[in-house]
Amino acid sequence: MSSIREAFQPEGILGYAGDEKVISGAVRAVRTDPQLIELVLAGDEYAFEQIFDRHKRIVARTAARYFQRPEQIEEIIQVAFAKAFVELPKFRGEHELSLPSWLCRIAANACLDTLRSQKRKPEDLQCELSTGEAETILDLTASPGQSSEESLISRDLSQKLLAHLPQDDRALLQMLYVEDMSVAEIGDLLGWSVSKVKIRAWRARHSLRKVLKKYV
Amino acid sequence: MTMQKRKLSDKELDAIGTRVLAASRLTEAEIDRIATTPGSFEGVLRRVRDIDAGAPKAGIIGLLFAHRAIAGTSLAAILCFSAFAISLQQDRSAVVSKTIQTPVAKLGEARPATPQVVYVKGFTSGRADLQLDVPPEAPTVQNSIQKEVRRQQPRVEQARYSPDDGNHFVAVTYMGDGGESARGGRVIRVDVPRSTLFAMGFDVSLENDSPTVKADLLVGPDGVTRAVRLVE
Repeated sequence: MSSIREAFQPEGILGYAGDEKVISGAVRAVRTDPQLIELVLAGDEYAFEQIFDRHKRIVARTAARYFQRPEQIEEIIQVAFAKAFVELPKFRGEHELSLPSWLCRIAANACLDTLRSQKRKPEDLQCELSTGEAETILDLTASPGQSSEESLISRDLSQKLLAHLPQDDRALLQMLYVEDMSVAEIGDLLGWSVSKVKIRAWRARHSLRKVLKKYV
Repeated sequence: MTMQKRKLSDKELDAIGTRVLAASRLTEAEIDRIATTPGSFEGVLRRVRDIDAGAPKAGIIGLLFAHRAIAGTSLAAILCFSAFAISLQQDRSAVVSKTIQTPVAKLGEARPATPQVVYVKGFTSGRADLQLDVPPEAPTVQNSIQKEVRRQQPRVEQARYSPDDGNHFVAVTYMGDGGESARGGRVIRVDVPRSTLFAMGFDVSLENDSPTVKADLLVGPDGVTRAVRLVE
């Protein structure tokens, strides 16, 4: 329980005393997620703001797997919390992490919906990667200690390279290989079965290899 | 600067892919900065209000679409039912003939010594030409049937069998209610033994290679054969 609290401990909190937290000497009651949900359902808008403040980072992290532009991530945060507010009466939380994981699933679905609508009206242009840029990517990603400038360059070039990959495939590979999430965890997050996650991951890996073979 | 394409194994490609994926990620600090953008919660509330305002509109639109769907389904069902009813009607009336003639039966005689042959021309037309030896005004069974037929005026459809094959229906002796014949019947094509036809008075040679002869039977609504026609 304490590890979960530490994981979601907001800034400025010095420590916990039972169900209370000590902020700079003052003691103020901290409400749990189910309590806040009860208050929201009773019509307390401030309680929903507390939920928003508590979980917006984890929702932003989910959105950042699919989108890189700040305005897109911000939009996903707003859409996910608006949907959560509307659907909150249907929410049945059974354990401590259920609200964050429920919010993450809403955010992931919002991301997939946005990607689907983008497919209908494509805006992003795919740029071909020059051979020099491909060489730079290899050099920069191979070196462990990078300056901020180098890391920015390698990110731009990597994003340019990965633009040839579907965004949902990219997000799936990122969860699997970069964030080391298990197949079951990804399935829980996206609402997919384990076999579906495996199949999609295999296809995504195959697509990534094809892109890399073409440019590297 | 040109770069030679290398031959990389799948394992090497996966390693490069993982590094590229890691490099393309936003840092935690950047994600935090995006999440803590001021005015974000106001945006959420604005979207909630939009959803609340849009819900009844969506409901009305859904209702409109539901009405259209119900109307379309009903129309399709009516059309299907009408087509089915029309096809049934056509099937029933396709082989019905109203021009059924029976021979004159004398009282006290179970079967005439020689069956009186009645020729019916124009099987498909509404009015048949009768070639009878008896005067048309005589109070016979045929006249009563004709009168009843004319009074009822049933719908006559094109018969399945062509009347131009040279053969005509020959009525067989029938002692029942002659008026029943006018109420319907059907034509059935069967293989009749030559001996049976001979016994019925048809002039067929018995010394032929085929033991049976194709014939059309005009069967009344009660299942009794009224008339026979040789096909070949």
